[in-house]
Amino acid sequence: MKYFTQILLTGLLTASSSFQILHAQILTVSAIPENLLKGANSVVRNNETTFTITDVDKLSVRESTTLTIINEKALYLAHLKIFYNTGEKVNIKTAAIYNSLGIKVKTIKQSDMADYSTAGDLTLYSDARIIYYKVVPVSYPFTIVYDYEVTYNRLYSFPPYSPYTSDYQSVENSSLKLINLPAVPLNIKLINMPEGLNVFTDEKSKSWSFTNLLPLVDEPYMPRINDVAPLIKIAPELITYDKFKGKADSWENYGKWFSQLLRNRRSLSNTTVTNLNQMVSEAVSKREKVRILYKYMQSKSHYISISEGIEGLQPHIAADVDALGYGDCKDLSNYMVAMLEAVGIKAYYTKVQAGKGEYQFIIDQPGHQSNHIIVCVPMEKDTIWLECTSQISPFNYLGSYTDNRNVLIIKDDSGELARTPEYTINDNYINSTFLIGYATDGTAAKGTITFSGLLMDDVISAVNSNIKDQSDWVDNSLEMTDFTLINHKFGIIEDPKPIISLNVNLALNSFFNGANGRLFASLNLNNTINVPARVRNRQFPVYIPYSYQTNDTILIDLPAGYKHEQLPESVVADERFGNYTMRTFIIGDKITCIRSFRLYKGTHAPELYAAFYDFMQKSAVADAKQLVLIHE
Amino acid sequence: MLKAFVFSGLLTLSFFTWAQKPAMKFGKIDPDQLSMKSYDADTSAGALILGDIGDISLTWDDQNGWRMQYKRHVRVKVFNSTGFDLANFKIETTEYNSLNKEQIMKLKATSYNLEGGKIVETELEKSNVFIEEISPKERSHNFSVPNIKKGCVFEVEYLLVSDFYWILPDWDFQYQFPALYSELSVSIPEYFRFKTLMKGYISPTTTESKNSTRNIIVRYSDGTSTNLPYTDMIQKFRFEHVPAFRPEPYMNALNNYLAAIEFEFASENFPLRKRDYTTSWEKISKDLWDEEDFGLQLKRNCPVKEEAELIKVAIADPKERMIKGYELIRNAMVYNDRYGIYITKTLRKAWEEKKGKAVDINMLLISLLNELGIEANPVILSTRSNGILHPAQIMLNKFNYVIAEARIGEETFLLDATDKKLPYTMLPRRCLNGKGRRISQVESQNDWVNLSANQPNERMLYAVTNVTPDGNINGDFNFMETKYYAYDRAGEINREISIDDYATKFEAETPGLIINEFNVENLDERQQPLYLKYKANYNLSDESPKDMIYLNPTLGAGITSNPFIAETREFPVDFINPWSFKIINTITIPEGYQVAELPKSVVYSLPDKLGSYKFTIAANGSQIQLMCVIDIKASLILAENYQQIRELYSLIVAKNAEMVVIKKL
Repeated sequence: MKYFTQILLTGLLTASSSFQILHAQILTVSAIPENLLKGANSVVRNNETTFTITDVDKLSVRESTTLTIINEKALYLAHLKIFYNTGEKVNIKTAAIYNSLGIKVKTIKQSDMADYSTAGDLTLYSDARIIYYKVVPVSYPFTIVYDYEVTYNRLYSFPPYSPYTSDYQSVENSSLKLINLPAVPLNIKLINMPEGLNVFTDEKSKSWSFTNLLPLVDEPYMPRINDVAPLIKIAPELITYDKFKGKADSWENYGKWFSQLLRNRRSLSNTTVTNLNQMVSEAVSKREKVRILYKYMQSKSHYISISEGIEGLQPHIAADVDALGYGDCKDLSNYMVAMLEAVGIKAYYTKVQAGKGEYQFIIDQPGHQSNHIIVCVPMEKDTIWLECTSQISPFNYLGSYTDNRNVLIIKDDSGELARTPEYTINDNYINSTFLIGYATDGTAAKGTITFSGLLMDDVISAVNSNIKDQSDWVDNSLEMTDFTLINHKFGIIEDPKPIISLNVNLALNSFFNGANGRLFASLNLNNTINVPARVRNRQFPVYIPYSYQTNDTILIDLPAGYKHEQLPESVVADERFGNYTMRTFIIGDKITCIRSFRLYKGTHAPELYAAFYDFMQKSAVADAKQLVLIHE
Repeated sequence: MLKAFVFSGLLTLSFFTWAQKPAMKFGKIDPDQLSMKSYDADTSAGALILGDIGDISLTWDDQNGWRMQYKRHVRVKVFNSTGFDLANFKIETTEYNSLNKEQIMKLKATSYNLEGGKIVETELEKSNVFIEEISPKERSHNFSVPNIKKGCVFEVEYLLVSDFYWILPDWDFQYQFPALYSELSVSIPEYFRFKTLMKGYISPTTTESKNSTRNIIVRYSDGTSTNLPYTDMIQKFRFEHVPAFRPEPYMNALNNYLAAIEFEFASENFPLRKRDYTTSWEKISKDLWDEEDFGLQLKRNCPVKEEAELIKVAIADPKERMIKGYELIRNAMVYNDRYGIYITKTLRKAWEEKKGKAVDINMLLISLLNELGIEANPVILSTRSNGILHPAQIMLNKFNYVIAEARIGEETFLLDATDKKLPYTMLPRRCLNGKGRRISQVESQNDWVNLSANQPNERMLYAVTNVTPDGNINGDFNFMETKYYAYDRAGEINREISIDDYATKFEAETPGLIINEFNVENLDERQQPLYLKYKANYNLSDESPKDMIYLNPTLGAGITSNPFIAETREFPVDFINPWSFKIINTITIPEGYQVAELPKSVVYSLPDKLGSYKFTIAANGSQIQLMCVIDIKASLILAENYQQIRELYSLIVAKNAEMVVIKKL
């Protein structure tokens, strides 16, 4: 679902016309064709989205939509959210809820809707507002009808349009109409268009319409839905945003235009500049200076919003952020650039499309494609990247939301595409060592686990939480079954590459199982391989977003009176997907088991899913192999 | 709910006061409760009921006569998202006409959040109360307290005023969350008598008191009047530190077990007017047959007459006719998921619209069966979610559903035509709740009807398997289910986009299972068992040959964990139906290997022939034969047998994990 935020937010920003003909007959749930209901949590009955450019700085977006919510999984799609800025016109023509029989159960009046500033009660000024209405369902299925139009006093970007607004959604009818009265040059990209797409063009307008689309199902290891769903992306080559005008026919020109917005935003008070210089006066290297100021920024400020698009484009002046101690990604990144500048280090404000799983810019469509800002600090040999919205992120760690993708670095009078670092199989690992011994009250395990690269993402917040939340995290995250956590300790190594370590002491409640003088034990305690479902008729390519490895060593004292009957050993290798090995040795009265699993990043044809499944299944089978002991 | 039964206004009451001393005042929030992080007595609770106060009183005024006033004020602390649902309310009201109605007079709901050290109050706005029309006479007022977040406190207060003064609301003292206290006061003029019924496994403390005497002015038709002294009898039920009720596996609807109190109108004892309202089943039956929205509809012309004529011409056998009639109604009518014992509008209207509540559909069926010359009567019942009927209570408002009973010779058939996937032999599971009551015009026929299905739900895995030298298994499998097992699985299969998608889901439930050919038989034929037939491998090992092979003869298909975690239980284990699960596996071991060890055959039995588990295994040359059967003969296992069923499950779990050991020669 996460993948959908993008489409969803903007999908709701849209609008249209021929509504009058709708009556109960059409709105009944029984009118939905059977094939569209199968596997659907929601059905787009009819959507008409219209983008009208009335002038070089005026864009109206009208969305007229009739959406049936089949069950509670799709409830979130029913809420009305309209983003706009103070001074822009929002015209809500229709908003109503119908029951499954097509009978209207509620007319949503404008007075029922909340209309507030997205900046909340913070003192940083913002124009951005939201109209919000939360639907409280009476029973499922139900249908919502919205028809509204927002007129923007700018021409900067268009919401991406997709006939789908979610997975497990089918579409009866959906269309996009584009009316371009002043003939502004546009760059239009049609992505993943289905067969049978209807296109209509005349002098001033273009439209695309989709009918009877079956639900996009969620398949394991599939590409992000945005990469497989039909998508129409339109970008203006001439931009007007408030008083800022410019071209977006190349990344250089777009960057040049954007650099105007950052001019005169980096001033800091003299006192702050003096303080910062004092702070780094002892530092031995440029890298050390960057690290000190980054840590200082993390400790004194906190982050308050998530999206560049919602809060406008321009960061607040660095001095204000310094005084207030908070800001969104733009404010904190600009503040970080300003702080570095104050100590003589050049750094850049950098636009990125954040999201787990390599959101990439459409390279041949220059313009606004980002939703997040990070900071780039060029060094002699490499580059330091700073994520400024996290108070806990390790230095120079981007993580899966911004790694390995194109970014636009805004220079003083231009823009330049660059790429954030990729985390490779050498970076991404979880390694563990466990010693198994016996106490009078059962089996005890003492272990050390280290987390690195993208496999650290989920652990970072646990490391930075209180001891109770930490032990809850350990309880829920260790993959062995039936254990009691006795104690634990986290550690963190920051530079050059961050690594998190975790030491645990556990009581294992049923490490050995058995009857009739035999004991069975599973030796993999920490890293379970989750076998994906064996999907028949695979639709989508196999997509492994990043490479990683898990390595585990376990040492066991042979219980008194027992000898081994079977030692688990396995090798599973597939050069496309990865490999698995498990070896067990007996040295004296100790059994040692070494196990390793590697999975390789890549995209493979849908036909290869069966082979991928086979690899994962065999690896899991190997992992489930048991040590068998027999009473002497 | 009881239908119009109007009390003639003989009496006037000079004044009344609405006696209460609130322990909680709306809007006055204890800051300690707002900053509270968890509840010490139950740290895992997602919410804590800080107080729940109910006041019920019967009052008089000249304009409206006697009315029932019910005031509730509840305050809740939310610790995490599991407590969010408590903020969703549905308050139902009934209105027959302007003199016979229930009304919500006051409704306030506010949440309190601590934000930056300040208390932020968010009030519910009127426009966010949704009024849902359940039927032309019943409404549900639905709302969610706004701005519910982790750590917030919210409270709701409302007053319900009802002209149906003879119906007092039930009160729950126990919740799925712990409560600091729950309190109900009931203030009733001395001339009314209500019977009370306590439910649940824990009881509140009760105190009784009286109000000072007042005067009622009684006016007679000749213009004279007298004073009548009158006292309110007040009962207060209070329960402090109520533990959370945690649902356990195999239980009937939660509300059957929560501590609660219910009331039943018994009598009026005014000096000049005494009336016993304790009713009888005979009276209820008679009233229902004279009721416009119930029996009178059956006395009118059958709306399905034309179709009935066609069936009569085509089919002579009464049972065949019944089945045909049942299928006609079932296939034609759309069930709107509504309960209730009164017909929505008329049977004719329901037939024209081809949709309705269960009572509309099943009364249509009765009307059609009668037209076909088959004796058929309504049976009223309480669905599982509505609660178990108390045998001593003769109260029509405890019933919420109507099915049909047909009689052909000595044989009777319980019929419910609301589910297109069910045959005439099965009732929807919601109906399987003890007993229902037959409403017949023949007095002697008015009786209880057993609703529970006595035929067991069967599940069987029949496997013919081969072990290969690498320790893997392949074979042919035939998985059979009957009755509700089959109904449920057919539902799951039909929800998938294709049978293949179901195969994917089915095999994912068993680690290592790889299904190669998958066929479903009798998918929509619920008179027959449902069969899943498949060829499959169990990938349990790599491909190298092994000296020792360990295999689980039950293939991991049996019960592998004990659902009965709680050490004790105060209410029955409700399986709904008797059931059985049989695994038959004929295993051929590879050539050059021999059986080194077999699990022991055992039989475990529950007392009183409630059920048993048999595990029988034997080897004969290269073949091993396993038969493993759980057979539960009772649909309900009483709490006194809980330890035995729990113990049986843990023995089964241990036995089902035992391995066959095969050795290379």
